[in-house]
Amino acid sequence: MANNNVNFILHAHMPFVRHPEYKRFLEEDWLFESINESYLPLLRMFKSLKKKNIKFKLSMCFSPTLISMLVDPVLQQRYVDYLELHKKLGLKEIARCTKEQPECLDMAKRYLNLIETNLKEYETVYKRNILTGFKELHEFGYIELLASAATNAFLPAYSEYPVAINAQIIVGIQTFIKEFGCRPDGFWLPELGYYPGIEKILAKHGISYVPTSSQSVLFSEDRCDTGVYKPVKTSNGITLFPRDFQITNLVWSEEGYPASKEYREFYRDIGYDLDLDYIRPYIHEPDVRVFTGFKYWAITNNGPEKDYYNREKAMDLAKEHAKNFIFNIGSKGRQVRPNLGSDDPMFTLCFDTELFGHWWYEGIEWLEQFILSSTEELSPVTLTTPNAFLKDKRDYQVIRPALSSWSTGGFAQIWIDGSNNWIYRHTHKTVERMVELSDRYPRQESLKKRFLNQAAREVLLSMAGDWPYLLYNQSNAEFAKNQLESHIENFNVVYTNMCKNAVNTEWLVKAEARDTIFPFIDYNIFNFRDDF
Amino acid sequence: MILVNMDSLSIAELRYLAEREGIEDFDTMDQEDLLDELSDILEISDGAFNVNKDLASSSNRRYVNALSDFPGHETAERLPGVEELTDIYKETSIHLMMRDLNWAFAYWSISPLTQSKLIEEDASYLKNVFLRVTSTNDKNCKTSVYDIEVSKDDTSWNINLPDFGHTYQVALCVQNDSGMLIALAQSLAITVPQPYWTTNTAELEEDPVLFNALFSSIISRNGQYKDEIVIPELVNKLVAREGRR
Repeated sequence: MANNNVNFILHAHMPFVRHPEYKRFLEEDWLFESINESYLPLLRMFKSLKKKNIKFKLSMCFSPTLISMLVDPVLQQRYVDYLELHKKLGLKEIARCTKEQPECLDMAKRYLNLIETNLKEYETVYKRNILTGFKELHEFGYIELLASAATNAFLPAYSEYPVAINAQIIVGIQTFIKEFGCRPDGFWLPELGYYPGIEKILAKHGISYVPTSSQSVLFSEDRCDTGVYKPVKTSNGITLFPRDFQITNLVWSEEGYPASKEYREFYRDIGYDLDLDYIRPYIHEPDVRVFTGFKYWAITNNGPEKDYYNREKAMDLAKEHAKNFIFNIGSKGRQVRPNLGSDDPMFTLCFDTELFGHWWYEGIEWLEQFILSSTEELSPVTLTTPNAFLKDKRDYQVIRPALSSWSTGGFAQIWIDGSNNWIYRHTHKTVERMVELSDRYPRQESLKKRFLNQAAREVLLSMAGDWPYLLYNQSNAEFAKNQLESHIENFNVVYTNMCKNAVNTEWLVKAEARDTIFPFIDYNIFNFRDDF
Repeated sequence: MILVNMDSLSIAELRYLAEREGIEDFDTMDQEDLLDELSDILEISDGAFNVNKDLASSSNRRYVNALSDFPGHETAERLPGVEELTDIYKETSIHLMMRDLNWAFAYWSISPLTQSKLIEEDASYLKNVFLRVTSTNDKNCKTSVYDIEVSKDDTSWNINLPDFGHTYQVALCVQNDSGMLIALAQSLAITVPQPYWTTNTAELEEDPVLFNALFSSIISRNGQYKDEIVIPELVNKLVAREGRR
């Protein structure tokens, strides 16, 4: 059986949202939903495969903002509170469904079971830090972990400021080392945003490979006959793993597997469907309806009339889709093989982790089936990771990769758009001012050091790619604008005070309490001069 | 990222949204009326929801993930000593950012000090503000220049990059009535690469297997290119060559 290597990469990311000054903060639910429906169930699935001695390999990246939130005691406690609250809702739902909506009872029980299992494992197995579970899988060779940029900044938008790119990369790697206890070989460029020249900075920090989009290779100035089916190298030795958009697209597309009518409808949630009086304790104040995770309907069609979700049917389909995915990889492998000489093709397939379980409810079972099928004896697919793949061979073609990203259009169209391009005037200025401060006040101690370190945090947070993305998508746009402005305004407090050689201690104490990210940060990274 | 597909929302959800948006009689309206009313209102709002029904229905967006779109959100309180963000900075500079292989985005500012100096010298300078785009062919170093007229109140512009394999730089200029030109600031240069296959299309034409193997990787399952710049150019060139045969 011909072999096709599959480099399956899951990228987990959440923007840094942490507001302890509020009892509950709406956008913090993003994190809790993802832990509840994606990260913990994925971890459970991986560990169950390991227990069954299924040898699988895939890669994962946790963004530094997500890592920071996952280890934050305030957010950890809030996740437990979230589970406790939803447990109460689950019990109430079982009572309601038994009486009024028996068709939903099994799913209500399933959701309650998910919450209870998560709560138990979160407290007793992981002691509230789920990263330890992924770290263990990494140590056993199942999962290869990649580092990423500090705040998921779209790096090509900052190519004019190598010092800012350098800071994003350094802090990303420091966060990785702190939580996983080892140096990363691979680096996830946020949104796979590559620009010519970034490889110099990556190499300085010991990074040996990056996943990129198809365009990085296809639109290179150099001829590359192997396309995206073999890694390539930059002139300074960084290996690129270009992804195959077409195969990814079987999942991640308008008509992809998750859109099948048998799968669970994401939008129909009792948080919106049930009477306000009933649901009020489980939504946000003042009567802001939100998703609760209790969803009983199948996608069915685009209209409001939905069929009840049939779990058995959906599971059968997930199995079928996993087999179809493998079939398509095999078929594509046959198509591209003539251009690869004697080598087997390499398929790099990248996905957002939160797609699985949270958004695509059956996604975890689909992935499990994909892993199981790929480990069968006659499978045309072999799961691998970049390091495992590079172990045998490292002399790949050297090319000059092109500016590219994995988002719509393949370049920077989403990130530098009429809806969001205004932000760069501010974020670029913030970077310039941070460099100025670190030049004027190097190696400060005590209060000034804390003040400048907080400024460095705010600069990195303002660079987060989430804000321009949300503005582009017109989704939570006002929230994104506020977050962005707040980080820049906070930075400006330091800038204006330091220009007068003063420290605003009241601000500092409050800012440190709110934006606790990167406790180890040293603002002197913005004073780093080198030949990039 | 999740955008709400309005067509999938239940009547209860639609009524909830309608109530939030202050639509009268929301509790007696049927689904169609609710969708119409909400579409009218939310399409022109600052966009907590994507309610473009055609878009929502056609793209379905189930494949996109991550953040739920919350209808209401909290705004974090300002910390003590924080001042509102200024619109523009008191400096004279211009920045150029590459958006794709055809377009770049330029933003600039002219400081009050520079403006007053110019006015002092000759007020007509500020009547004629323009961007001078310099394009240099990377192979033969030939340079061409074109100007984009802007007003003194403009602060940003999308710059067309007509040629692959060229390096572009933009200068922020003013010119007085006597024709005296001053370059106030100059951007860093950006280089638009020349993708190999755009100048070697014949090699692809002779090898359809290679063409397929390479470019199928950016074609979606229903046959759409995930690129609007290079592939269409390649296809046009291939079609033109075929026509000449």
